[in-house]
Amino acid sequence: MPQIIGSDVSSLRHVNRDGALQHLRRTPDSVFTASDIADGLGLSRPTAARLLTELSESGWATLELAHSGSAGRPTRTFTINRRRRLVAALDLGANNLLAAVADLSGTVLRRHYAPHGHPGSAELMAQQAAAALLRLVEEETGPHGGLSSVVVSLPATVDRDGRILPWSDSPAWATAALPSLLGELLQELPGLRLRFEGVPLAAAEAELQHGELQAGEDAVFVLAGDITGVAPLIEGRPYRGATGAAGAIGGLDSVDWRAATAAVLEETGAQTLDELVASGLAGDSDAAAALSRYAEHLAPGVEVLVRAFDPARLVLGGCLAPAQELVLGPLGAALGRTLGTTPTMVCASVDHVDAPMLGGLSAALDHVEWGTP
Amino acid sequence: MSDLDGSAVASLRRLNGSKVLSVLRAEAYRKFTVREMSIATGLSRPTVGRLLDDLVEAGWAQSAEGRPGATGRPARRYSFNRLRGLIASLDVGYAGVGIMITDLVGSELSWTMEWGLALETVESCIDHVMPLFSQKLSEVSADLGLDEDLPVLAVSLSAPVIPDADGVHVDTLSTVNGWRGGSFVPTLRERFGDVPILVNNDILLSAEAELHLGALSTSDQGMFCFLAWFSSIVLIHEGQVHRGTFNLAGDVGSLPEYRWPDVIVEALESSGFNHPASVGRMLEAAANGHEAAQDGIRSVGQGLARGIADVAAMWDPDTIVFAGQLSTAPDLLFEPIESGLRALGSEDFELLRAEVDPEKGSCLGGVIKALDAIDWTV
Repeated sequence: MPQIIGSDVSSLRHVNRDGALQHLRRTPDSVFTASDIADGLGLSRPTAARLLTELSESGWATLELAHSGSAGRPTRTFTINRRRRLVAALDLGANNLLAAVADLSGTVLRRHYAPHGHPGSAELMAQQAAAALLRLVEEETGPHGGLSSVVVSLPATVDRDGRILPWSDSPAWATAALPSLLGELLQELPGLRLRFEGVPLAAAEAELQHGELQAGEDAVFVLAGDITGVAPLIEGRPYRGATGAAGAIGGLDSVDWRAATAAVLEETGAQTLDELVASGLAGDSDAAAALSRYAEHLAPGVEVLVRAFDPARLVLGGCLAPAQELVLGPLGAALGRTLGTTPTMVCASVDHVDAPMLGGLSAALDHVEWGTP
Repeated sequence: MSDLDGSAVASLRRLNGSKVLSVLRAEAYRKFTVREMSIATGLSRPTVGRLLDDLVEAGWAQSAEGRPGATGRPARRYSFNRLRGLIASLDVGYAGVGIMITDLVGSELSWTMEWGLALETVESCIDHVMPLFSQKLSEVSADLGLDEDLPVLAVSLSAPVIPDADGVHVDTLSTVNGWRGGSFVPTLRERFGDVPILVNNDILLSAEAELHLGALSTSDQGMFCFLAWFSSIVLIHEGQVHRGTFNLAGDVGSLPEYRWPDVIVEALESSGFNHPASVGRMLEAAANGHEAAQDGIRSVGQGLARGIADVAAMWDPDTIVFAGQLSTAPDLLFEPIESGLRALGSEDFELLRAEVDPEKGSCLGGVIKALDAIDWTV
């Protein structure tokens, strides 16, 4: 008989417990019995019952007794304890700072959104961001197991090693020093895992979870507006490239979307692209015409993207997304003239203000140390 | 004793037979004893012995007496029958054709190229290629001392087209006008019968060859820059050619933004050469110190640099390989290209020249795809 080593049994137990926890996590509103978990994971019922009891004793699951009304023993049911840990996202945008704290189901508990006033350095931005986050955590009354992970999105590329690589038009505070500065200011949160992500990828993640990006499909997510950037996906997974710098559209000679944005705002007198889009949607023909010209300005850069990645779908996010056909129509026509074959083009459906934050929360949930004491 | 389902036994036998064939193919020049094959496959010796005899009978394996040793009867040895059939790999274009015939491990048995043609239509292309192929096939048979031609087990056709699922050509910028909307498949099917017939873009096949046999073999996220009269880029993702949704991934050269076809034409004209076949003459003249030709080469490099850098910015490759006729150009072609790439700020990629013979690349890539397409289950 082959010898079973103690560490093998312990590893298997750990794998099974993790599997049970992920099963609970996937449908946080559902209650599960030991039989449900046993069936779902292919375990024996006694093993499943033991694992769920361990999860309950360690605080990761909540035990409730369900009475069926008949004279039998009540059934033990388990749900994920959503507040065993909290996660957070910080979206450091071109003009505003958005901080959000959520539970383990991804439900946002607290949110802070305000202009950041364009801090002139990484130190000043780190101070603002840390203060906003710490305040939210403090305000979150009710028992919870502490903040586990935070994902920070910013207008720059973040490579595989977590280094920040500013774009040519990244703000002054988006530098390689930001992670260590913010990390120091958040030291009072023990065991916190801090990660950074470029805004386009964070927004694309939200669109994958809740919007127009399809699992398993080649796609390109384009952020156009106050922040411009690209997140390519191959077979539904973010494509990062050899160093994590894929999609650096700011480096393309043919693309100066920021200048195009400045030009259309000056031409129309609108203060922001949001304002211009709102006017266009309200029927202002001048605004609509300006948006059409702006979309044609985007076309050369989008052509390069589409021909480089040859996606099945292109999703337009950012401030322009609410403009829908006002932008998609002229952009699609311009691409069709040059490319012939074009991908399916849609506007993002996740709110462009919240998208990077929601993508950040999704990523933060993936970085929780599930099942640890 | 339990009753075994006959179909299950047959399936298991087929599975095991395929396993043995797979080991034979993987070491196609090795002669295995039954014992050695039993170790390699984990199957019992009696089972392996029976399966090897089946494979010999079906023509997939050959057997021979082993060499006498000090004691005992020498063990019979088995090897893959590389000449059970042949692979036909055809590379066609407006001005030239290439024909490669290989055995079942891809070893070249025949190679020929013809240039200076003008194949205006699919029909004229086929009318030229098929008799030439038949002639080469006969020569192979004669070289092997055979009275009859060996069967062709798979066919690859490489062309400046992108085929749709039915094998009908989809346009690329380099597709010959008279070829648009046509298809090679019906005629190939009539000639070769019910074997895998693959039609693929010629540059994609060159990239496949470089991936399996050349400078891209260690690349995960690479770029294959094919630089010739018609230039294009093929992307490598997780060690495989990334075709994209419409088989156009990387093909930025065709965009008006970059004007790659015009870049080559202008360079040729300015240096006094004005025909596609003159790219080779321009390269030769530049190597011999002809100043106008050198200026032409330099301007080609400058013209291609932006598109290559833009795709590199998008793709973030670990390796960039330059292939095609222009990849043999002197360094003054590559200086502006390298300068554009370094301006991206990354030093993390390797710049290499292709290692596969540019004339044979498409055919070799075709052989690789054809071997993959054969049903090797016994």
